[in-house]
Formats: sequence, structure tokens, C-alpha cells
Amino acid sequence: MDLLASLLLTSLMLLCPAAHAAGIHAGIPVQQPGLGPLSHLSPEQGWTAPVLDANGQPVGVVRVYVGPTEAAAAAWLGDARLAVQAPLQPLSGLGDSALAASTVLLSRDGNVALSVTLGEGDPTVQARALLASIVDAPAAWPQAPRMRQQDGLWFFEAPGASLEVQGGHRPLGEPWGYSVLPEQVVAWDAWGRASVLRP
Amino acid sequence: MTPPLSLLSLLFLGCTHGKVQGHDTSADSGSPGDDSGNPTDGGGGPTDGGGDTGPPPPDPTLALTGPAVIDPLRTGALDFSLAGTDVPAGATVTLTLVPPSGGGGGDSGSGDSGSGDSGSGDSGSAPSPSPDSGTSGDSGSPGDPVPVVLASGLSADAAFTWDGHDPDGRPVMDGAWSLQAALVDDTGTSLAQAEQVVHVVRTGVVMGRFGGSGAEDDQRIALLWYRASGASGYWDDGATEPAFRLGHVSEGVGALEAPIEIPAVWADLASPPTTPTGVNLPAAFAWDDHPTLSLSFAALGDAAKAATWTAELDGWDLVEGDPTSGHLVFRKTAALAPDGPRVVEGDLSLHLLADGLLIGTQTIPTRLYATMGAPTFASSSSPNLLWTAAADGALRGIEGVAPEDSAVLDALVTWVYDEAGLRYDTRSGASFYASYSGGWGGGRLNMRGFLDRANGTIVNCSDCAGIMGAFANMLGVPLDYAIILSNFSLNEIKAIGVDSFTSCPFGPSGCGFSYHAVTTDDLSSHIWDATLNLDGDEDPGAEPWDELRVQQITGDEYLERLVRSGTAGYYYDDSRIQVQ
Repeated sequence: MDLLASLLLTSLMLLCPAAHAAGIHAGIPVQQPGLGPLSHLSPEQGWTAPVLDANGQPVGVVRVYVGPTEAAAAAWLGDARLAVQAPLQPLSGLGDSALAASTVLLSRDGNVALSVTLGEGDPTVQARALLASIVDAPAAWPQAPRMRQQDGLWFFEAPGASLEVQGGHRPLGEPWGYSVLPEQVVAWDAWGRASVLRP
Repeated sequence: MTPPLSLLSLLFLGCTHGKVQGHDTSADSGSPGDDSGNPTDGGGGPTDGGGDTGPPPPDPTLALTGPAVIDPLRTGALDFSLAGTDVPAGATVTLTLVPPSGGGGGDSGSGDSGSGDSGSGDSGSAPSPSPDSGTSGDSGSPGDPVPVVLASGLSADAAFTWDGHDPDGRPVMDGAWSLQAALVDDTGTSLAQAEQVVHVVRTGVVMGRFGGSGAEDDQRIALLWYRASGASGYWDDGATEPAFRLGHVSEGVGALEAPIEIPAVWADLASPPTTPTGVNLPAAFAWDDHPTLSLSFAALGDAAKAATWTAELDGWDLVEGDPTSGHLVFRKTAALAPDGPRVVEGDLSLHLLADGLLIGTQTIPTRLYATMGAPTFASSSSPNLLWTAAADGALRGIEGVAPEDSAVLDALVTWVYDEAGLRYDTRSGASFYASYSGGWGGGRLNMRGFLDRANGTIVNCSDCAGIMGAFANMLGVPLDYAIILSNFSLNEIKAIGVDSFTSCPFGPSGCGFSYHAVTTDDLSSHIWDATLNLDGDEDPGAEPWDELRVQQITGDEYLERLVRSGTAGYYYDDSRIQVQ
């Protein structure tokens, strides 16, 4: 019976990957309408992207964090509230917990936490759109990058993921090979999850 | 062989420079044709018609003098001169250009070219000209230059110029070329000969690198570009990357061959070049450093031995090497920026001389960022380095500032508050670029986003403190941030980008801060704040306002002027921003 239920649940997840309840989610697809180019910050901070108006001009910023646990996301939300000088008020109906000021909204749903900060206007619309795009599949966390050495340079690979390397040194004109080992190599998947290699 | 008209024109134009006057040209020609040993003051010759009773007429002599080295791409026309003595009436000089030995019958007969080491050595070691660039006259056989008559009918004391080109206007190939002059009478009989060997060489710097001497006052600072392609958006020069690498000293073929100049300094402050050659990177040093510049030269081949070579770089001292070694190190004579941090940019002129004669001048465009010192972030690894875009913007923004930490911080406050185009978030006081990780002590600034203004121009105090900290620490001025806690109401403030004073920056119901971030370099004893200006008069909570910029205000005074009511104190005041 448990197996059957599990299969049924898995099938439902595959058919309808969007998730709106607490728990461990796969994340939020990083390509979102209304957002500009994303920047990966750090595994502890998640990714960020500008909010664009109809003319493509920046009017704010979103930050999204997909943590390994709900507690990690809750801690991220606690940090996020530190950077708002105006008082934040609790808000219901947006994830497991939410806080808001007039142009700022912070929310957590399971292991996913996010903030929407606008210069003007209601951040709720963007926050709801992000929360609605939370998915539970694929469940598997991305693999950490792999490292190989060739011709005196270090190369890193993470199939299906975006790499972000910190530290180290690449010779000028060499896009991928490092002559000095980096401190950290992060593989980001398309749902905002990060795996780290520390060479 | 008839010399082309174009060459004759060139040569006769050269003759307009005038003759060598009062110069015994036979004495120093060094050519095999000057060994007659005859007196040179024959005094008129056999004109008395005395048959066999008078002394025999002295043999005529001919000398040819001129420089030993020429760069056909950089030197321009050099002066040569003929000097004949006891020249019979009607005798004239024919001038022939003979290629290096092995280059088509070049039997120059001179010491250099005859030694066998110039033909192969020069032409083989120097950057290779096009095969036909050395082909002269009518040989019609690329790569196989032959002697060519440059001019005939010249007077025995003519002066002329040669610029290292063949009659068709093509720069001749590298090697020991021989200019041979023959004095002939009206029957075509050779009376005397002279020769000048001219080493043709293409000179030029092919690589330059700032820093690296290891001296205390030559500590290059790594520069980082934040929009690179590949494995990371960051790329830094490691403080070791050459400024430029050219690969060759010339490009083009034949008459179109031209020297490769050092390119303008890389203009993109965000993205680095994607190729190491053909670019010219800026570099960074402390303002009081004396940077070194190491230059690698193209090999001079046998031309190295043909003259005494020197090099000069305006405002820099030669401290190591010489042009013949292919490696030179210059050290800036004065401090990089004696008046304080700024962008030092302009063209350096490198002069290359052979036997004191200017062979070539090469321009080296430079842009050097003169900061207060190495970055002072908690971490010294990428990306906590000096960002090129930040250095360029900030150093231009605070130009003229004295080389003192407090003065730099004061100037940064003014620059950020007045010039950065930022406006305080009067809705929520929320950050758009800064964030905290693991509590208020883990401040981060999305510097990439900020430099691009990717999220717009609205900011809060965490942003401004982060921006101040990022720029200051990049420029080598240690600066921490402090968090003022908590939930206090405000006196009159004038927030960044806001035109008026208010004690309620978020509207009538928003008259306080839950926290406020400022910067300090001494655990909150003194405060710098680019977020807001205070009311500096006796009553900071009411009109009139005496706008006070927050530049090195004591921590106590700052709180007195900022806080109307509530408990407020400094926390986390040894925290240093991290950039990302």
C-alpha cells in the first residue's frame, strides 16, 4: 500500500509539478517572466534578479533561496528581514510565513524562501507568481561539480548546471581552465539549487 | 640596370640636405675602399701639361659614411654622405644597394656582411618581413633580392638619405645591407669605391608587464573584471598578467608592411578581453609606489653588435637590461601619483637609439590606477579584489583627494551621496543590493548588480554602507560597517537623493528606523555615512537645518543628532562588507 501510494504521489508530481504547500521542494525555475538576468550570489544566499517594468527598466529586485531544509530557509528569511529599515508586518496566505512592508514582501514556503523589493508598487503580485511556480520535481539535488586536470589547467564540469567559480586564476583568454585552483566551485541547477565543490 | 625614377627622385631630394662640409670622410668609413693611403690634399691635380716631368696625379679616394642601423618601419630617412678627394673632372658616383650575403649575390666585401654571420643571423632572427619586401629593383624573384643601382651620376661629395626601402617603396628585409659607392670616370672605369654596411632591423616591444620586481614600492594590485565569460563572471589579472603581448612587430606585406603599435588601453571596465594578444590592460599600484615596467623586445640579431644600443622611457629610469638582451626594466622615477590617489593615464614614449641615433619611438598607452594600497577586505581572494570599474569610477570621482585614509573616506561620502545618482527608499527603507547572511555581521554587497544599477537606483542604509565599504576597501582604506540598534525615532535627516529634511522618511507614520547601518574605521568612535545628512545645528530635531555631511563625526555626536528618542547603540562595528 505504501508503495502504491508513493507511486501515485510520484505520478501526480510528474503530471503536475507545481507545488504550493510546505515541505521540501525542488525549487523555483530560475527563468521567470518579468525578471531580468539572474545572478547567482552564493549557496547560502541563493540567486537574485531585477524586476523589470513593461519597458524593461529595473524597478526592484527578487532574491530566491532554495535550501536543503525548512530550517535553512527560515534562517535565510530571518537574514532577509535584517535589511529592511521600516517595520515589517506578518502577512497570511503567502507560503508558510510572510512579512511585508509597503513595497517589500518576504516569504517562505518549506525550504524555499524569497524576497520581493520594489521601488514603487505592490510586491504581492510578483511574490505570488514566484510562489506559484514552486515545483517539487526533479527531487534530486544537483551533483557537485567534477574536476579534471589537462595541460596544466584545472577544469570543472557540472552537466546540466551552471557553474560559478570563486577564487583561483584563469590565464587571460582562457574561459574554462584555471591555473590556480579556486576556493569554491558551485553548480546551480535550473531550480536554484546549489552544490559546492571545494577543491 | 637602370634605377627606377622614383628612387632617383627620392635620392636627389635627399641631396637637397646639402653636402658634408669640412669632413674628412675617408678617415672613418671603415670600408675596404678607403685604404689607398694616398694623400688627400692633392691640390688641383695634373693640369700643367708638363708631360712626364711632373709628379703623377694622386689617386682619387672616396668615402661613404652614414648610420650602421636602420629600422625601415620606424626610423625614417637617415643621412648619408659621400666624400671624394682628388676626383678627376667628369667623374661621378654610382650608388648600389647590395642585399645581405646569401640574398642574391650580395658580395658586400665588408667586415660584417662578409663574415657570414649577418646574412643568416640577421634575417633569420628578426621578425620575418614578407618574402618580397626585400626584393629590390627588377629581380622579379621574391625572396631573392639582388643588387640594385640606387643612383648614378652623383657628385663625389653628395649627401643623400635612405629610409630602408627599396626603389619600389617596400621596406627591405632584415639583414646587413651594403650601400656601395663607385667613383667612375666618363669611360666607365672605376676609380675608387666606398661602402657602408647598414643593418636593417625591425625593432619593437612585443610584451610589457607592470610590476614584478619584488620591491616594496612596486607592489602591483590585482584588477578584477566582473563580467567575464566562461567558468566565472569574474576574471582578475592576478597582478601578474602582462599589460600587452603583440606577438609580432609588424604586419602587412610589401609596401603595406607597417609596425604594430601597442593598442589603446582596454576600455571595457566590466568585461576583460577574450584574447591575450593585441590588447593592453590597465594596472594598479599604490599612489606612492614606483612601478616597474618590464619590456620584451624583438631580437635585434646581428644589428645588436653593429651599434651601441640604448633605450629611454620618459619619466622612467632604466634599471635592468638593454635592448640587445631583449629585455628591459624601467622604474618610474617619481612616485606614481605624488598628490594622492587618482587615475594616471597617458602615453609613454619609448625611444630606441643606436649609437645615439634615434632608431624608433614607440608609444605605450597606459592607464594606472593609483590607490591607497592593496584592498583591505577580510578575504584577499577573488572577488574581494580591486574591481576595475570601481577603481575607475571612484578614483575619478574623488580626484584631488589627499593621500590620507580619512580624506579618502570623506571624499567617498561626498561622491556617493552627491554623484552616484542614488535615492533613498522612502517606502520601506529596504536594500536593493546589500544583504546579510548569518546575521548582521555577514554583510554582502551585490557589487555586480550595483555597478550596473541592475536593480535600479533606489537604496537603503545597508546599501550605502556596503557601497562605502566596498569602494573604500577596494581602494585600500580599511572600513567596517556598524549596525545601530534598534527601533528608534529620528531627528531631522536628509536622505540620499531626497531634497528635503524630514524626521519621518517613510511618511507620517514612519518616523523611525528599525536599524541603521553606517561605516566606521575605529569601532564606531568615528562615523562616515553616505545614506543621510544630519541637521548640524544646536537643535537637530527641528528647523532650521544646518546640513551636516557625515564625515568623520564622532560616534556619540552622530547618535545625538540622529536619534530623537529610543535606545540606540552601535553593534557589529568590526564587520567588513564582502562583495559579490
